[in-house]
Amino acid sequence: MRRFLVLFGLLLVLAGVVLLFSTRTGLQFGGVSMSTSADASYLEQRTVDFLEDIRFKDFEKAATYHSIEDRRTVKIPELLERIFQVRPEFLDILRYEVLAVELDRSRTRARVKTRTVVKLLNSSEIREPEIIFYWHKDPRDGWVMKLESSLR
Amino acid sequence: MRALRCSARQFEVLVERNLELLFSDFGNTVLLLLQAPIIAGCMILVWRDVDQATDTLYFVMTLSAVWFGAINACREIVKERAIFLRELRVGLEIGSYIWARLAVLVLLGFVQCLVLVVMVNSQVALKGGPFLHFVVLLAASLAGTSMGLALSAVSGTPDRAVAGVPILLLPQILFSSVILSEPHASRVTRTLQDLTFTQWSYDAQLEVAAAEPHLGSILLAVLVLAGMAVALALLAAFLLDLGSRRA
Repeated sequence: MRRFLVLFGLLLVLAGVVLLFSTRTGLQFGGVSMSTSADASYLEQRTVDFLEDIRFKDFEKAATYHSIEDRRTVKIPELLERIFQVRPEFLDILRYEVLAVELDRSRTRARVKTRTVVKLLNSSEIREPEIIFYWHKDPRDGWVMKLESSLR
Repeated sequence: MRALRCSARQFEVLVERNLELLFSDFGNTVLLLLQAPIIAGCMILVWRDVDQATDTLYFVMTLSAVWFGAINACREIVKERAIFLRELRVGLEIGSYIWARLAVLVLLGFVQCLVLVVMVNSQVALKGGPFLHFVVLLAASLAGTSMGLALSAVSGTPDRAVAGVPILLLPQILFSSVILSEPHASRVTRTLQDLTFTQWSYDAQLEVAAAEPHLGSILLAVLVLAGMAVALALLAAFLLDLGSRRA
């Protein structure tokens, strides 16, 4: 019986780790990540951070994912309105998940596909848009987002 | 009431023995475990083309989980009926025998459902995350396992038991809302739908994938599936008792 319980316990732990801490690019335990691609894991985390920032309407922080030049000109609320077709004050982001992270052969460009569940507060309508965020590796700033290119 | 008798000591010994049998029959165990990656691979091939999890994917996953359970269990009793009858004469309790079988088969179903969910989710992102999908599929697999044990209890030979699995699984497909949507179903059909594991599991998976999932509905479905599993395990015990009296 002890062997059965040990086996069952091990399977429970394995399932917990694999199902609760798995991401699209590997495993993530709090701040520690185990991934086959450091860039992919980083981009996944940065995209989730960005979505969390816009969920909590922290547009200043959301602008910091762009290059230093773009930060001065980027207008996150306007870009959000273009993405979700609704003014940011009527937007309630309920959930988001990263579906895929792809890097090109030079590993300097990447696209992160996401699915977001949003509720339009003025109509209670639920939408589940899939958005692709485009990133490029700037020699000076590292990975920076090109939110405008996601809208084209 | 002989079918309900169960002692903890016998249960423990039988679980150990069943586990030993599972590991010693390495070839068969590997073959059973390989079903999950093979079926998951086929699903990935189909659903990668549409690049998203559709309702039919959830139905196929549900059906696979029930299949895993049923095929794992369908030969378990019939293949050692002679041993069972001999041990019954020297005090084996049918309840302990059935629950011990179920306990070890649940481990097998656990691994299969885990592999299925992890593989499919890695290529076709399941809406709502993989954890709840796994819980629902495990409950469906448990119900399928009990159904397989009941089938094994009434089958004369292992071959007949395997041949009986599709006969039990076909109604699980036919009486599902995937085949006939609810507005078109008659009252009888709707009642039969409520008795199939696939319908409860499929509905729960759709709920997990919903934009605003209702956890109460998911929990209810899992409890209903667990209840069906217990009822079918008891049925297997009664059938086994009946068969042993005739033997």
